[in-house]
Amino acid sequence: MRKLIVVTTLVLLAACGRGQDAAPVPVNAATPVVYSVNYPLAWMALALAGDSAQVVFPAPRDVDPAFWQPDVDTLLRFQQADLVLLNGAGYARWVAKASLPASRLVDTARSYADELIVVDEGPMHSHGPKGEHSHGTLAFTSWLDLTLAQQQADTVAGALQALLPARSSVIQQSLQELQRKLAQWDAQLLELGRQLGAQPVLYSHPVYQYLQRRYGFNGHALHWEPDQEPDAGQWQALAELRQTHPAKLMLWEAAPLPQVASRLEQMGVSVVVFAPMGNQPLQGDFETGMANNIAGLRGAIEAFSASGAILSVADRQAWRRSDSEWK
Amino acid sequence: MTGVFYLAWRYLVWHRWKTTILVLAVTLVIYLPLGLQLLVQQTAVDMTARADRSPLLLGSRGSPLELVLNSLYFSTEQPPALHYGVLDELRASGLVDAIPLYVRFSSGGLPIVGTNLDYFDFRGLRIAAGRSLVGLGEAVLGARAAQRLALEVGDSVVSSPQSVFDLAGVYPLKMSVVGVLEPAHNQDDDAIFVDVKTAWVIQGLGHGHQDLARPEAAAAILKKEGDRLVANASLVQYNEITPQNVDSFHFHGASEQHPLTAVLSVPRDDKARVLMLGRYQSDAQLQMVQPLTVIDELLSTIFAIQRYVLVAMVLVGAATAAVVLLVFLLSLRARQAEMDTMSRLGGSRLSINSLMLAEIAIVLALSGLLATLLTLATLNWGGPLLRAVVMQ
Amino acid sequence: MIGIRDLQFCYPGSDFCLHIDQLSIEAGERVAVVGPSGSGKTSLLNLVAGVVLPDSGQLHVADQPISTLADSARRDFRIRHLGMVFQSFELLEYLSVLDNILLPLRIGNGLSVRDSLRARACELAAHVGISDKLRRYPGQLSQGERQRVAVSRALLLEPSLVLADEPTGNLDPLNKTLVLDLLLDYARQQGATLVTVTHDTELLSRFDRVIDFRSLNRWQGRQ
Repeated sequence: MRKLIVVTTLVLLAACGRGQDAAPVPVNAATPVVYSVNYPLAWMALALAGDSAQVVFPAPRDVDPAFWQPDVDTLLRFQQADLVLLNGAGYARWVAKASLPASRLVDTARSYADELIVVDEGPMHSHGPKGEHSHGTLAFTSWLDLTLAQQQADTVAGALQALLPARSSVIQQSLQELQRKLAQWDAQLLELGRQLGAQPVLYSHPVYQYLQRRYGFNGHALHWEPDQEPDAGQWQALAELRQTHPAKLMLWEAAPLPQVASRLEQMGVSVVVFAPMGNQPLQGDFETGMANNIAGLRGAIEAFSASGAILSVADRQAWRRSDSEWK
Repeated sequence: MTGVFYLAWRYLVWHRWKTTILVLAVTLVIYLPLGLQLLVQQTAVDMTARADRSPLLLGSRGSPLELVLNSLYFSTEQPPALHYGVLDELRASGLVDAIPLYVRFSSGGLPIVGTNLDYFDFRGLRIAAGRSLVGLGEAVLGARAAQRLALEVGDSVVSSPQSVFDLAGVYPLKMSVVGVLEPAHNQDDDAIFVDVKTAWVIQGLGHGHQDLARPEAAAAILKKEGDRLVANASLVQYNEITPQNVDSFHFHGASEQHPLTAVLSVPRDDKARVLMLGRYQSDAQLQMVQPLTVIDELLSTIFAIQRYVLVAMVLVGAATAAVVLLVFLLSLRARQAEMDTMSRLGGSRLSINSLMLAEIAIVLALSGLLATLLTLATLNWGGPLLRAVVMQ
Repeated sequence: MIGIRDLQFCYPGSDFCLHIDQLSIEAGERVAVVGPSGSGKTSLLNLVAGVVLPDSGQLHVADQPISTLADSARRDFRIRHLGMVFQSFELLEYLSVLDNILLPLRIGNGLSVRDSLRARACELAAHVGISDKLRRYPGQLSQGERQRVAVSRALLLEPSLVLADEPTGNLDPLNKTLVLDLLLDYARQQGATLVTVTHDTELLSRFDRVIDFRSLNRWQGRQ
């Protein structure tokens, strides 16, 4: 009898274990599953729904979710989710060519569709009778404009309340807290933007369009990767660029290679990591990541102020870039 | 009496052609009214059930019947197209769930239905083999479509060109069969389902080609004017969407302008249904129809015609019965010598008189059996056959 | 076996009548009836068989007062005790040889095809030399073969009286002899009475008695 109890207990314990790679299943039949195409939306959904929904962001940690292509199994799991949060603005190119249940999709950019920034990529070309066209895209890191992030949060909350009507009031309270944080960051970035003024900045990659527009930065984007060392041509191009755009600050999506940071410092360009966090940061979450972004930027600006490198009003007018590069 | 039936049977077998004609004639007299009634009733039940399960249909102004037949029964007659953008308007209303339908193309005589995954949930369609659609260039076959085309998961299905001479228009697209549905016992069994975006690719609204910016596409560039490139005819355009080339596929124009044949609208409640109907009642461009109402009107017309046909059949049946009776009477006359022989041999009057009746009984029994078999066949296959004929 | 006294029979709608004062045929006797065509020989056979009824007079067949029996009784008597052979064979074209032989069993009241009778039919067919043709149809047989089928049919139920109306009329000399031998042998072996209407004078010597019908029928025409 004793032996039977031990064996039974062991069997039950073994049955409780779950493989790490198992597809997410509802904790129980009533727990809906929410999938997200990027980390910021997953973070918002988690902040709003808590334990009442299972929030899944399936992209691997080492890919850019905007360009990641889910495999067939992952696509099938997206299809089975109770709610799929889309960033909109063409984020996650795979969405445009995937078959997803439209009734369960939420485009969180719908409310600000007319504020999206168009970016031209690729040459204009024509073939056949259709005329000229380019395969142009929209800038998609819209959450870096915290006011747009607030609208996304509203949309996510609305979708969750429809999915979990019994939790509607709790979600509403969570939304208020979330909006407070987003508003706080927005205010902090606005202040930093004012402090930075027309100081030229550089961006390692063209992912800061919405940040620039909202907070008034005067930036120029390169196409440098954090994990790669620029070649001689790229360094030369940077040097030439700084002739007309003498930036002393460069925002990076992630920390560049030490030798790159060092050379930039030698050129008089300070490196600031401002992670867009399209994917989940290696440490912390969106809140800690945004706090780090703001703290890093504040630190760099304070250093400018200490060195007197902030431009005068006249300089601001002279160096203010038009929005044409970004529109 | 078994002796009499045996003699009757031998006589009928001996005159097999006459017997066959008689049996067929009587069979038709019995079966045709029954079969027609059965067919019409069965079709009515099927069509009504299908229409009943399709609350509302939004389409461009035109024939409501054409809209319903194309959207629910996948007929080849296409209603005028409407824009995909109306889908967003419907969803934004919060009153309905909107499912796009683009039924324009075909493959192997079977309709290609461009839609989205919500259609499968709405119709209760389940995957029997393989999986559901996940993207461009994939197809899921209805149960009968897979049988008729002799295709399985992993095979390919090619869309049929709409016009041999329209070289710059619709061209065949090779699609990968990723799933086969369980039998649904309705029109969905005969359909090839694709994502609506795949249907747009078939139409030529989207395509994939070599990246003109890459070196290997240099030969395809006709001229370059600054940032503008004009490609020549050697530009490779893909007629199959694969994981390797799917990224190159793109659509021209805003998706809101892309065409649909209908939007299947599922109202949240009865109030929403009424609101939707009222909203489009006076719309100059669009119409919202209730398929059940349209089908009821069609069926009432069919039933009216059926009544006339039945009357005609009864008259024909009476005439046929008279002719059959005449045949037997003439036969009786012609066989008088045979009857006399039997009489002289000592055959009983009952046996001799029963011989003809036995022959009639056998003919009627055979006809009844054949009519029963035909009726059973009609019950099993009549509906789908009529649907296939009507929807061509 | 057959007793006729003062029998009168007139065909409906016709001037021709039969008037037989007296005719007696003993059981087992093999009698040939001769006379010109239209003299009433077939009518005599029909009267004896009970196919038609006399207008008056007495007619006994096998001690049965045929003329007083009901139609069903006459038919029953005919099929069980009489064997009929006709000049034109009168086989049913749509029945096989075996089925033609078994025909009486299928049309007779209370009769049915039993194994024993089926076996007898096969024996008869063998006896008459057509056992290899049981599955064939009359259209596939020669005239002589058809008449042998008809004879087999007539003898299936072992009748005590066989009436043959010109049984050899349509046969070649070989088959005439063959058919007549069958009938005469049956009558002799079974002790049955055979009454044969015939024109074949060459065969008359084989019968026990020859009746000239012209002397039998006293009808002189309507008065």
